[in-house]
Amino acid sequence: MASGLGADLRKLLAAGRVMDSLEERILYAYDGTSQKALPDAVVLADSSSEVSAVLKYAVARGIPVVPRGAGTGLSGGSVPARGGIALSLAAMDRIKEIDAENMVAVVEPGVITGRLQSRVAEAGMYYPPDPSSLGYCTIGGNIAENAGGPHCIKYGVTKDYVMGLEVVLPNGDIVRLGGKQVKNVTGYNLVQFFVGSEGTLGVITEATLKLIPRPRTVKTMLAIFERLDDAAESVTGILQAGVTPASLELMDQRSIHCVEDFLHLGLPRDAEAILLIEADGMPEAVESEAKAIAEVCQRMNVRSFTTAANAQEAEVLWQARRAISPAISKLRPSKIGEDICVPRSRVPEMIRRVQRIADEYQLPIVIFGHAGDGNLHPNILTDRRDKQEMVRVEQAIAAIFAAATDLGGTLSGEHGIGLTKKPFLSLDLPPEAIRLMQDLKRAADPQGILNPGKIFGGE
Amino acid sequence: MTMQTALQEALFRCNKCGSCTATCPLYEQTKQEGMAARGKLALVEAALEGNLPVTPALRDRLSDCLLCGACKVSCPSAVPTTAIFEAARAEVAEKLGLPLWQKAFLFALDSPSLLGVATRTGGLVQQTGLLSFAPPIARCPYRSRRLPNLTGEQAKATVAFFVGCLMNTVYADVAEATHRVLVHNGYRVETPAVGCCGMPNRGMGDREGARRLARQNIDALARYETVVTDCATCGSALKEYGALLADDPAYAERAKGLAGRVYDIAEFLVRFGYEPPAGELPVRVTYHESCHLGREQKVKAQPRQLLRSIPGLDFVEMSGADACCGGGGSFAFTHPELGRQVGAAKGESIEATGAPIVATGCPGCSVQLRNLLRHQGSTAVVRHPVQLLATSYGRMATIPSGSIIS
Repeated sequence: MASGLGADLRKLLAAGRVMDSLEERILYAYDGTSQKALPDAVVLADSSSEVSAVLKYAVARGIPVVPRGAGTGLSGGSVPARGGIALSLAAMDRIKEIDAENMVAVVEPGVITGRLQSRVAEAGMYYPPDPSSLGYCTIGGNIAENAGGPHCIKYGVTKDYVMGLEVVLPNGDIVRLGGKQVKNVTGYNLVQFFVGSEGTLGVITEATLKLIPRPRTVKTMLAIFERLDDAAESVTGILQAGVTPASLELMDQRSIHCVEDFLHLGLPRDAEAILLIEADGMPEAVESEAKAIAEVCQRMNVRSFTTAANAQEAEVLWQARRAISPAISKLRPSKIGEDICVPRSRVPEMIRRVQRIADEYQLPIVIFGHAGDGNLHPNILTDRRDKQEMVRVEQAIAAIFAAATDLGGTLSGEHGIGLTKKPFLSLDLPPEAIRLMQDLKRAADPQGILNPGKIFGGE
Repeated sequence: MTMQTALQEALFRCNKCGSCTATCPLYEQTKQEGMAARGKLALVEAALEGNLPVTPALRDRLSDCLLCGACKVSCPSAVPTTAIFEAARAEVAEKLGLPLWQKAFLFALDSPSLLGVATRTGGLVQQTGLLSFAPPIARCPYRSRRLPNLTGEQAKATVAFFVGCLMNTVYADVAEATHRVLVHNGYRVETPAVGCCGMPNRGMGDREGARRLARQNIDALARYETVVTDCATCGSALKEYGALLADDPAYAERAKGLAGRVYDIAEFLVRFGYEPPAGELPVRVTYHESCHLGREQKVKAQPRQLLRSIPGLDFVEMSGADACCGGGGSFAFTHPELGRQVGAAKGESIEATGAPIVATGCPGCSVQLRNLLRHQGSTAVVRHPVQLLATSYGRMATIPSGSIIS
């Protein structure tokens, strides 16, 4: 790569914003997948004009630019696969406005999702998308990956909250799209064009986000089932009973065992599934919803059903779900978290297929996830240093993707395709769709400098 | 870089999830990867794999850490971040040698007479108004003070008081308060000739020095059933001697044994009981929980309990009481700007309580808090909880008259 890259960038940007020592390049080589590729230089941007200056410089020279929020993604999306400039937006973290009248927030991309949620809550409102990394991931990354989370069954995913964007195009142009207006059909829906684009179409430098009224109360319930099918039928039964729970989380038997080995909470080891269910809204509605949920679970042979009386008890119920990650890290040094999504009715079949895959490839795989929307996270526990085992891991991943698409599902519910899933893209998308996507990519980024090597290229 | 296998295994558990960035005070200020644990672990990993040479640049990056331990507590994979950083610093120091100022500093701490000369000289310089960033050095070190004590027969028990370097020289009034409170509660106080606890050595990468001091202190404390200290850092170091000397067959067991006999003064008083203070102290006090006391020793409730037990004392919890103050041992000297930025929020939290006194059990934090408060023009003062207890006992005046609620 151009040896004068760092020097050139230093001329364009304020002091201290450009780093190119080997140490710094190592520090911006990874994301939450442990995939690594060294950038040639790192830029910590502080404004859209700085982002624009970097892109204008890069596009003229064909240098790759890889935008990055907090680098917590789970598909290799912010890994600089072809070198170039790692463009961190983490320092652009101002909450510019919380507009209570129009119920929107205007934020910079580096704002931490959880921080926005608490600021919004202080103003009596709610920003629902809640990826489990919400304490440290950024809004910009959430938008680029169209992140989800447990509460998306009722409230939708990130895309449902993006009303407007400021985006810097690969040629350096700064465009503002959408805004505070609730309805807007003027021209193509370019706001959504950039949502979930994984940093390949433009760099998000500001977002206008929809806020909703904060639910007055939340009730948390834990249901333990002896049979997986009963748990799955409860999920569909609850929705058919006219209740949309705020969250509907599932843990399979291996997750239960992992947590039990680690925390000794007294969860029954012979139970095949646990559902963690939340109802939220107006107090009276929550009461009757909780009652309906309990009835459905009773009808489906629930073995035990616990309702938290207060926030403290709710925290105890969440303990098992939250303990999965620490628990599995005790078992094996590495974990590879997948993110398939199948139609809700196929959840039990999907879980059984993953369990068969686990047996076939002799790998511990725990499954948990958002049963309410069919989004499951099979986590393969492994040791990345064991080359032989990693071959089996790769085979198991391919088998999981094949099973998901076979059941009418998709490769990724909320993590994105990035690097890790791109070899499987054609399992999920017909060639015509891939071609259209690539045409759109070329239209937005003719030189192909933005986050090259992602999404496409492996099929 | 090599590093022992157990730590390498632990390092490998880091999945780069980024949860450490949520709790790292330095990342919060800078938003730079290198400041958070995940980044430094990546650098150590690269060095171990031979992909990053050990240079002063790596040493500097490893020094970008308060060793506050927040990342260690929040890590979902339970990676012992600070132990890895200490080991990495030690390896780098071994390869590159310690910078001269660190050598001189550790040498002074290791030699009581030299430390005495240095602090006396510092004290004289301070009288001229220079060195105002440093807290005032006591006119008379604790160890030179003639204080009342009980005889073995009068006392219900004898305790060894581990007097830390800073406590003896700078915060001698705190050490005196600890002494008086112990005597007031019927203990005979003995002050065996201990050396530095070794924590500064560990932080700077002088692992061998830390181990030598640990052995020395284990010998010095061997005949005591109970060891009490009023320094959060020393307490933390003493309790970790077991890990530090785990591979030393002659000392491993004794080091572990000592850990079970060491108590922070607040932990000791609450555990074994103390005479309820009777003297009215109508003053508002807030409490800063030092990382070495709260996170490392899990002594959280006890100092607050001491404070609340003082009649008339209006205890107000500040927001983020357990957040690092940005002191980080010598961090505030090597990274003054960053240390101040981290501490700014702490200063504001203290101010927001309206308390004229902030109590804390750590001399390192006390230095930092004093500077933060001065920097923001606050008149609030820093005290050790045991000082307020000693005052309530009527044993020592420790609070400025202006802070009393009239």
